[in-house]
Amino acid sequence: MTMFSDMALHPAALFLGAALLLACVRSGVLQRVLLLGTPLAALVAAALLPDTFGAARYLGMDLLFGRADSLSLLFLYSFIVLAGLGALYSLQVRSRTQKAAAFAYTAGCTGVVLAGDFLSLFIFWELMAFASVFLIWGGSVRSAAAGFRYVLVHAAGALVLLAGILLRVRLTGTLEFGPLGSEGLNLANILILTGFLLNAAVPPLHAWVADAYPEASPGAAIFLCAFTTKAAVYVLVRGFAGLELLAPLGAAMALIGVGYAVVENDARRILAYHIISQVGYMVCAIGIGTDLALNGACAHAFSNILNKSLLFMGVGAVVLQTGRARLYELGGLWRSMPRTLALTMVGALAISGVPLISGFVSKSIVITALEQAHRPGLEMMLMLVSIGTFFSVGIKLPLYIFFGRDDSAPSADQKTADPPWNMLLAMVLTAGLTLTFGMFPGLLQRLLPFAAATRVYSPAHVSHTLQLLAATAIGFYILRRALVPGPGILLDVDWLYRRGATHIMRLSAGPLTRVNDWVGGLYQRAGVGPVQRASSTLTHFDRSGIDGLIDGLARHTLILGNGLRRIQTGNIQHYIGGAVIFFFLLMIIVMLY
Amino acid sequence: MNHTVSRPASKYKWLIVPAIIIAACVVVDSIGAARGEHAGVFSIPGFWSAFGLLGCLSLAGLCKLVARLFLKRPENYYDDVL
Repeated sequence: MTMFSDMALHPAALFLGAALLLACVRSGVLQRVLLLGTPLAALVAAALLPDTFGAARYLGMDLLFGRADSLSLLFLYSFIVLAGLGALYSLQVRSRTQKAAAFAYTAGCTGVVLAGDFLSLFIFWELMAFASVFLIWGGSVRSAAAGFRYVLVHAAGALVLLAGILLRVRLTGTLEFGPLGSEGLNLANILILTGFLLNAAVPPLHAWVADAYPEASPGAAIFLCAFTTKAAVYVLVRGFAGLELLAPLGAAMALIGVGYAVVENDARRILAYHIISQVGYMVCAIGIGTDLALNGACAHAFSNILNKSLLFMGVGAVVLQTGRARLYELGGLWRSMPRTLALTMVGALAISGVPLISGFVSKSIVITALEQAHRPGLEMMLMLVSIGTFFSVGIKLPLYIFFGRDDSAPSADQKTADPPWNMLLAMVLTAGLTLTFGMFPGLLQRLLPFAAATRVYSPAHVSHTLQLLAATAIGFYILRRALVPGPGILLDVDWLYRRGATHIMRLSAGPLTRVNDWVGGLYQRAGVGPVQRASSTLTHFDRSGIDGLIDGLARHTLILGNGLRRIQTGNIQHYIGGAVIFFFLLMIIVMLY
Repeated sequence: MNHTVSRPASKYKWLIVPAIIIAACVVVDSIGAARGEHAGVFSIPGFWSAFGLLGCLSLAGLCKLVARLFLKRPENYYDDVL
């Protein structure tokens, strides 16, 4: 039924094969070879990809499993590189399920960015959701419940997306995945957009990020923080570039994310809220929709995949070594984990947009695009987000993890050290990439898919950014006593399905039950009497008419059955004899005709 | 647990570097403004310093307020339900 028109090695096939092997192979050496070799092989495969491949016809629809244009390739390369770095970081992980899930998740992501039609997109989209939940389940004791909530939210999102796709096929007769924003927002496109926005964690569909990601194991968090949201950014760039609604939505999303991060006390939840915040920049730029803005969205996704992973690696190392993630339980680790501190700071400064690191380059492109599109309001909102980012990740996070309490006499539980070599190496490589792309902005701009470039390191840009950061540092100094982290959690939209659901149950147990009883009483009086009279009439007919027929049938079946039972004597000679008689009867009939 | 930063030699030690950066940047802004390279409120020398400080204080203050009034719950708030 399915015929591929031409052959190319799809990176998703490599990762899926590796995931299967990782699930089966027990040898530690072989596992390591697979973990490190597969991303390298996938890089080679990606470099050799033709422009389009894997065209197929299925049920009369044209499918395209591979569309490798510059937009797809930028995301593809960053996902593969990140999978390699994440695998290097996770070499010590024992669980084969976790490793297999990580590569199946990577396969899903690479499949999504290469998919040229909605059906293959949906298949890989689902692979992403179901592989990633296994990554979450490998984490803390709370991860089981968080994983179930995650998979329920994503299953709902996937259903909405599927409904949109099916409706679109009915309306247009094609599965091709291209720009949809220009068509206007019909119901099909709204459903598809909703599915995409859920994975991009756009409020109010964002709470799953801060609910699930902090519960995953440190290695898994690297894959999680980079993949799902950025794959959603890719499909938004591809499908909804220039959709005006996304510009204010993205800026609001960036502010909400950073607002939570400013007051959040758990290191990994701070980083999770920053995923939402940084994706907000990208969504905003996608809404602007000019070539420069789209380049900004892609550049920011690219640099954020590196920066955010680096931060999750650093904080993950701290969590692994200390078993703690809450800021008020940490402090003074600069003595025992100096390398982790240095590398985490690169990520923290990168995401804050400090010049010479990749975050500055990508943020500058987005901000310049907003300037050129004459959107000063959005520009100021995103600048405010920059302030909050530097405040929470640039200063607060490292301060309370690595400095904070005077550590001249470390207590027993603070005898920690830098993590193993492979984790440090993964962080060094990630930091190296971040710095390289920050110092040579031309490198990143050359990778960008659209024909627009800007001078990133203009004196005005550098000056404005540095002023913002320096003023934020002063502001933090002023507020330092008011914002000391303490225990407690913050409510978010996930309250609706974690606690709101119990209120609905209480409502249904109280008022709704009374309404139900009243309706039940009404039914008893008005409905049951006539129904009982009708049923007694029917019972009479049933006894005299139907039962007589059935009983008669049953009696005759019994007599026939007794006869048949007597024929079956269990004696082999009788059966052979019967067969011979039957054979002769058959011969006679054949000869007669 | 005490989370104050170890007491610096001078109370304002931590403010010296940001202050120098801001001063230098205002000079750069002024040169740009004198050349007429940019226009509008955003290119007034020192605009982003003021925006940064006010933005930082109001953002953090507002977030803290909203968190304390509406969002903050005990650590075990969700523990008795899934």
